[in-house]
Amino acid sequence: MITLDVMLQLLGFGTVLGGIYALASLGLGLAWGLMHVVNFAHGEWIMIPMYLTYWLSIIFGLDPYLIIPINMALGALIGFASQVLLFEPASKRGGGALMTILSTMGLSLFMIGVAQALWKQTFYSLPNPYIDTYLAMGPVSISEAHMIAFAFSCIAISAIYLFFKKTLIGKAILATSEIIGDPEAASIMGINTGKIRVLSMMIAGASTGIAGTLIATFYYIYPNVGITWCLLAFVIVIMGGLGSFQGLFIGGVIVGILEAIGSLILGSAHSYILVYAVYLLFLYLRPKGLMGRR
Amino acid sequence: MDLKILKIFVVMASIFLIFSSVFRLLNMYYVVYVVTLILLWAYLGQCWNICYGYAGLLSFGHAAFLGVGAYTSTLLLINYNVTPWIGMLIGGGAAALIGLIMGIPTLKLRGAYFALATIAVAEMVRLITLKLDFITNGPLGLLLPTNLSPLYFYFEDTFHWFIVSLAMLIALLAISYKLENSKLGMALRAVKENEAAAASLGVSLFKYKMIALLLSAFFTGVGGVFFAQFVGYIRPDIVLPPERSDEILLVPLLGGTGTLLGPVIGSVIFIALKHVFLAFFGGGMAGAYLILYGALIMFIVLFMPQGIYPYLSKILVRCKLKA
Repeated sequence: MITLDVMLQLLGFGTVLGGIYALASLGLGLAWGLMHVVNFAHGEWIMIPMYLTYWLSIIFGLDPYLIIPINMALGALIGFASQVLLFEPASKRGGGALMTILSTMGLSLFMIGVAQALWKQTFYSLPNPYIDTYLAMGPVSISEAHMIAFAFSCIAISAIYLFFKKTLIGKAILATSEIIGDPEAASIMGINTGKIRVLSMMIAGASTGIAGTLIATFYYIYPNVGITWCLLAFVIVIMGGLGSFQGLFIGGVIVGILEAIGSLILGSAHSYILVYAVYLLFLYLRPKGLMGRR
Repeated sequence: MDLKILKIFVVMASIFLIFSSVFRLLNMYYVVYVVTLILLWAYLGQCWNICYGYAGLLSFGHAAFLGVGAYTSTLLLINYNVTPWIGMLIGGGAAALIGLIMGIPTLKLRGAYFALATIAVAEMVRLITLKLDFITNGPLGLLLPTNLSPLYFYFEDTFHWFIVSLAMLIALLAISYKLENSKLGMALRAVKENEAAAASLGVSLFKYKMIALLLSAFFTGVGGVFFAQFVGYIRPDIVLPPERSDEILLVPLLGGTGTLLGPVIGSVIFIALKHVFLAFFGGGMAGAYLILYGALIMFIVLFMPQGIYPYLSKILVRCKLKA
């Protein structure tokens, strides 16, 4: 029976989950909004840090939150390698934007394959004290792992937002973006757009590093985990609107609540049916998203 | 249909026919089976090619069409005893309906939106198939009855399957050829070359893209029915997983997108590679196929975006010049 308490729990948990989703989609939003790379490998960029978190905390007994800087570095490295070795050459080969998208799909399959080969189709879950302690606020009770992840997500997104608005490099990146700025004008003003593109992809990678660490504290870790997170990120970026930070939070919270409702109606394994259906409706009615610029 | 293309079709069909007849006479049915697979994948690849090669629509969700076609006809066969020959039309129609769901929200938008919708719709179809387990038997899937006759699209002899798949491929290639040279084909080419220019000349982008998508979806659905009858067993993780979509798109990419013979060439290479991998890893190494597919896609994008077809036709031209 759906009582007021259940509703409050759904709303509360949905909001917290949405905040975490916002961070999980940040990397995709940056890569797409800033560099026009629609990154189908985004989910795998999250999956690799999840595994590193697992192994480091199992082998060295590290607290998962101490692994965040390591994963940021790993994420930045993956972003750097992908941009220099794959995305940039693919976009220069001609054949249009669709070829770059195809190359990200290839990278995604390759990374899933490597993960399956190395770690098999096993479901790992990170043993940590945070997932079993619950914080109760009235009728709403949410695990500590989710709350900490939510807090980190808010801090990380605000930090990146400030970086873009306040620092010179951040402004240069925004100027180079095809959606917010103008790459040609930026290069005339003396900005090295090639370097900026690599740097933006590294920032996108680092943000997936943080997201992967946080998600690993409450989610199962398996080779195909990226598919779900990649699709969720697409849904959130489209709903929120390309090139908008506030939009990420709004999209994230909508998806979080939808998922909570979906798991109530359809069962948790099939909750995404509702999310995807609303997503298609969004594409039809408002493709530029709620806060979109285009 | 002009003579040159007719000649190519006849030559291609004869090569396949002679090849499988020889191996059938040698009683090597496995080879005939592999050739049938090659033809099936060439067929599916050409379906994807209608979408991407002709209309510039990048689809990551063709498994949805394949699976919906397969499930529709199989459910009709099991529950209402409808022959899959009719089920083919209904399955194709159901797949086209899924195409409509993908197309309506996204075909008016440019860029990546269509690709995003395809992957979401494919995932949705997979989840719904799992959810409706009282109809689809969930993850366990459906076993097709085996006491069927050719009237019910079932053949004892692998060679007969081969003949049907060859007929399907040739029919699809002929339709694609007609399509390429019709008003629709020209409009699609114009759309692919320069969307803005085509639109300014009064070409209705939405209509033409939608027709291409629906045709592609319909024929993929029909291919799904063949797949179900041929394999005899359908399950969400056989006909609906994302990997299946990736395999379908890999075939024309390897051969050459936007060409008639590209998918056929691509399919020969794809099935050969798949069997080499099967021989080496025997299904024991998880992820080996995905590594192969991913590496192939990245390689094609970086080093031969046109696929193998241009290289092959160059060699053929050189041979002709020498002779």
